[in-house]
Amino acid sequence: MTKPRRTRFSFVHPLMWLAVMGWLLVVPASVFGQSLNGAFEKAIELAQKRMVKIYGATAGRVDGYSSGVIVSEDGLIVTMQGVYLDGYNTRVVMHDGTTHAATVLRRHRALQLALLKIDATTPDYFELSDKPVGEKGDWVVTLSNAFKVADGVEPMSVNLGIISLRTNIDARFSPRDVAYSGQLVLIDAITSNPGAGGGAVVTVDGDLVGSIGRVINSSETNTRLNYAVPNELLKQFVAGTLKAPKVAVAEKSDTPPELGVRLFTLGGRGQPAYIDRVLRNSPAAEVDLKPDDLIISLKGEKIGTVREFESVMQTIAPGDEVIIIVKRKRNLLRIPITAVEKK
Amino acid sequence: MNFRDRKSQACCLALVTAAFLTGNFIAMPLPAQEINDSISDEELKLIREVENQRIKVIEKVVGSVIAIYGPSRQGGGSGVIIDPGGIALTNHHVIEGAGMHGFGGLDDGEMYEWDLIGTDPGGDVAIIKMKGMDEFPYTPLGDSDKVQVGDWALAMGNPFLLAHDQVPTVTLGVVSGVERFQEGSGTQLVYGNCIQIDSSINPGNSGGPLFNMGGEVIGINGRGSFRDRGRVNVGLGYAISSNQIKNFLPDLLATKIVEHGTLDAAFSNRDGKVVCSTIDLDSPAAQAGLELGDELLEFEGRKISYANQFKNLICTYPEDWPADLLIRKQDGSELNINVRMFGLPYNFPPEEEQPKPDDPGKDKDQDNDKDDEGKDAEDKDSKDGKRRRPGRPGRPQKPADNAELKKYLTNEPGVVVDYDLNAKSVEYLLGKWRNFTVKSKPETIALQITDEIRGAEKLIGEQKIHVVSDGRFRVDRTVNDELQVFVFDGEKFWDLSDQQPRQMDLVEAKIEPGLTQGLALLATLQEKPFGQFGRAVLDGGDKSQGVLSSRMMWLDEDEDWFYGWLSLYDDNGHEQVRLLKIASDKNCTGSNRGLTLSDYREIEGLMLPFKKQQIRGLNERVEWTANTLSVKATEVDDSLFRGTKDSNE
Repeated sequence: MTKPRRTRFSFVHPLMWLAVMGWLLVVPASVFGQSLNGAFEKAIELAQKRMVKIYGATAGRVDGYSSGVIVSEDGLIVTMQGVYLDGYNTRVVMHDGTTHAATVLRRHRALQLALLKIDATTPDYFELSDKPVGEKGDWVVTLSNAFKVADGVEPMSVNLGIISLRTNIDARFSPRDVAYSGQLVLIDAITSNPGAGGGAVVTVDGDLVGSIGRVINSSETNTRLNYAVPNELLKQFVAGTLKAPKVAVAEKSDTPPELGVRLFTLGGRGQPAYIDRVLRNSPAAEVDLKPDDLIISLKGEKIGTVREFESVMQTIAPGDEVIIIVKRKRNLLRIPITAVEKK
Repeated sequence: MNFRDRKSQACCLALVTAAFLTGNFIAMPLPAQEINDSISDEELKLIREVENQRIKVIEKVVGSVIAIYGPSRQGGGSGVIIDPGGIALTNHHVIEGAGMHGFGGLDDGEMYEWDLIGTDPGGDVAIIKMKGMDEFPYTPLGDSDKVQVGDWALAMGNPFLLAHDQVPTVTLGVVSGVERFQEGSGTQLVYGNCIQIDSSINPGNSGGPLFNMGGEVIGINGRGSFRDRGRVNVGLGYAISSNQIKNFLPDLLATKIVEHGTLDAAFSNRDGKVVCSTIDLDSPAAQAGLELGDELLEFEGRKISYANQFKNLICTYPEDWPADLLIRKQDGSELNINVRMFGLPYNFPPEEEQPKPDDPGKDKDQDNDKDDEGKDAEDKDSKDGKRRRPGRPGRPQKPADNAELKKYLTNEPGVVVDYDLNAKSVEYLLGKWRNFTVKSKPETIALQITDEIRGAEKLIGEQKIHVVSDGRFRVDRTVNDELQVFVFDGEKFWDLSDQQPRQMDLVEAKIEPGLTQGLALLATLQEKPFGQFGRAVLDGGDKSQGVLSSRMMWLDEDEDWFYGWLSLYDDNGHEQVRLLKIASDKNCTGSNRGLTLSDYREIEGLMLPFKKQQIRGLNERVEWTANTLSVKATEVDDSLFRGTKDSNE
C-alpha cells in the first residue's frame, strides 16, 4: 500500500527563531510612561468594537462558532469559512451584545474566507487598505473568541505578539493542509485555536494587519501555524477582485495542456471523474495512472466531477508540475505529474 | 502617534542589535542592512530603562515564588508567599496531589517544609504555611479589580518541573480578558471572575502567582484552555483573581474547608434585564422577599447588567457571606436584601477502597483523566526512596495516595478543623491588629474622650469615656436626659446608672454597646484583647461597613460568644487591620446590637475610632452615632474605675 507523502512546513524552523526573538524585544518604550501597563489599551479598545462573535451550525466535533471583523459601515463582515456558515441560521453578536442574522455574500475557497452581511450599520469598522499594514518585528495585538470564552457583551480575548515574517506559503495537499499559496503574515502570538479564525490582528495603533486564519496543523510535528491573512488581500476579497485560483485567467495558457487521461463521461459531466483510458506515451502513462482510477484532486483543488476536472485543467499550463490524487481500489495515491502540450 | 510607532520600531530593532552584539543569537534571521542604525543614544537608554524596570520587578518578587513538592520531594506545582510569616497560596489541585505536608523550594535553592492550613476545593485555592525562616520573602496580594485587558501579566512557577535549583520560570504575557467564567467539567473546578492571560501556563505552573508590573500578586494561575492540544499552553491561561482569594483568606486561615456561597436563586437575561428565573422558596433570599421575575439591579454594590456578571461575582464569595442585593419588584418598587449565603453542596471524597499492599494496578497512570490539565503534582509512590524523574507533562498523574489528606477532606465544610492552627492564625491576626493600632507603645496612659451622640437626625446626648491602658474604663453617658454609667475595674463590669451599683454578668455586658465601646478603645494594649469574654477563635470571613473582615469570636467558659470584625485591607487594597465592629451576635438581630467603629485617627501613638455607631441587623442600620469631639491625656484617677458611686464626677 502506498502512503501519501507526508508534508511538512518549511518555515517551522525560522519561526522558532522568531519566537525566541520575540521574548527579547521590548515594548514600545515611549508608550510606557510611568507605568509598564497601558501600552496596548488604545488598540484593544478600538478593535473590540469592530469585532463580532459568530455562531452557527455545528457538525460533530467541529466548532459552531468563530470570530469576525467588521469592514464597512453597512455591516460587511469578514470571517473564516466553517460549518457555522452552512446552517440555516448564522448569528452575529456585536460588541454591545446585539444579535443579527447574517447572510453569506461571498466565499474564497483557497483562503477559506467568507464575506458576511448583516442588516445593520455601525460607525465602528476596520478600514481596509491596499498596502500591507505592519512590518516584521512590529508588536501586534490579536483579538478573537478562541474557545468561545466570551459570551454576549463580554469582550474578545486578547493575545500579544509580534509579526514574525511576511512570507509566501506553498499549497500543500493532505486533508489537514491548506490549498492556498501566497502571502501570509506569520505572528508569534498563539492564535491557531478553535473559534479564533476570523479574529483581528492589529498594530499598537489599532490598524488591521490581517485576519486570523484557519487552523493549519503540521501533520509531521503537530505544531500549528499562527498567521493572519493580510489586510490587502482582505480588501481585494471584499471588493470582489481577489482571484480564485481555479479561474485564474492569467495562468491560462494559449496551448491547452494534456495529461493523457480520458474520463468516463457517459453519464454526463456531473459524474465522478473516473479515468476511462490512459493515452500511450503520455504523462499519465509515465506516472502509471490506470483506467478506473478515481481522480480526487488536481492542483490543490478537490475534484468531485468531470466538469470540475476540466475547469481545473484550464488553469494548468503545459510544463506545469501538479499533484494529482487518485483513488485506486482502497488506496489514495498522491502523484506529481507534468502537463504537456495538447497535440 | 506616528512618532510613537516609529520610535517603537526603532526600539525593537535596537534591541535586536543589542542581542546580536552580546551574542544571544547564534544565527540571526534579520539581514544586517535592515538594522536601523539611526536610533539615538537617548532611545537606547530608554529601552534599557524599561528593560531594567521589568527586571527589577522580577527581582523583587522572585523570592516569594515556591516550587511545591509533596513529602517525598517529588512531582509538584507552584505557589507564592504572601506574608512574611510564610503564609502561602497554591491550588487545591496541587494540594490534592501533594498532601497535607511537603516541601517548598525557594529561589535560594533551599527546601522548606510546609503544612496545609485550609483549602477551598470549589475555587481551587489552598493556603499553606512555610516553616523554617523568621521572615520569608513575600509579595502582597494586589487589587485584581484594577486589572485591565492589555496589562502586562507576569507568571512565575515551575512549569514542567524544570527548576532543579528551585529558581522559578518567568513567562510574560498580557491580560487577555477579565471577568471570565470557566465552567467546571470533569475534574476541573469552576473559575469565576477569573483573569485570562496569554502568558504561558503549563503543567507545573499550577498554584503559581500572576504578578502585575507593580510587583503584586493579582492572581493564582490554575488552568488553561487546551482541548485537543494536550496540556501545553495554547495562549489561554486562567488565574483565580486575588480579590476572590482575599474574600476566602479569613476562612482559609481559620483552617476550614471552605465552600462557596449560593443564594439558591438563579438569574437570567430577559428583555435586557437580569431577572430571577429560579428560586428555592426556603432560601434566605426568598424569605427576605426575592420572588421569581424580580429584576436584579445590584449585587454586592456592583451594577448588574447581564446574568453572567452575577454568576461571575457570586463565585468569588464564601459560604455565610452577607450578600447585598438591590432588586426591583415587578410593581417597580426597589428592595434591598441582606442575607447570609448558604454553602454549595460539598463533594465529600468517595469512601476509600483499601488497596492491597502490593496491588500492581496501584502505580498505573490514569490515562482516562484527560480533562484534567491541572494535576501536575506528584508522583509519590517512590517505594525505593529514590528520586524519580518528574512526571511527564501532558499526562496527569494519580493524586497523592495520602490517607491523611483524604481523612482531612471528610471534615464538614465551613467548620474549624484544627483549633491549634487556628490559634496560631489568631495570634498572627491580633499581632497585625496591634501593629496597625499601636504606633508607639505608651508606658501607662489614661485618656478622656468626649463624644456627642446623634440620633437619626438630631443631637440626643453626650458621653465621656475614660480609658486606662491597663484595660480599666468608665463610660458616663446621657442620652435623651437619661444617665448611664458603666465601669470596668479590670475584673468586673459595673452598672452605676441607678442609685445602687450593680455588678453586670458577662452576657449583660456583651449586649450593651454603650459598655463594650470602652473595651474596644484600648483593646490592643491588652495582652489578650477582649480576654474578659474568653478565648479567641478565628471564626471566618465576613463583612462590616462594606469591607472584607476577619470575624473573631471570643468563647467564654459557658461557650457563649462575642464577636469582633477586623479589616484586612484599606480602600486601596493595602493591608490594614482595624477593628470595624463588635457584637454579641454575628447578625445583630433581635435585641443584639452591634457597635461599628470608624474614622480612625492617631492620638498619643494610638489609632482611635472617632466615630462609634450602634447598629442593628446584617445591613448595619444605625441607631445612634457617637462623634468624638476631644481626646485628652489625663492622670490615672483610680477612684473613677471603682464599682462604687463615690467618684469625682
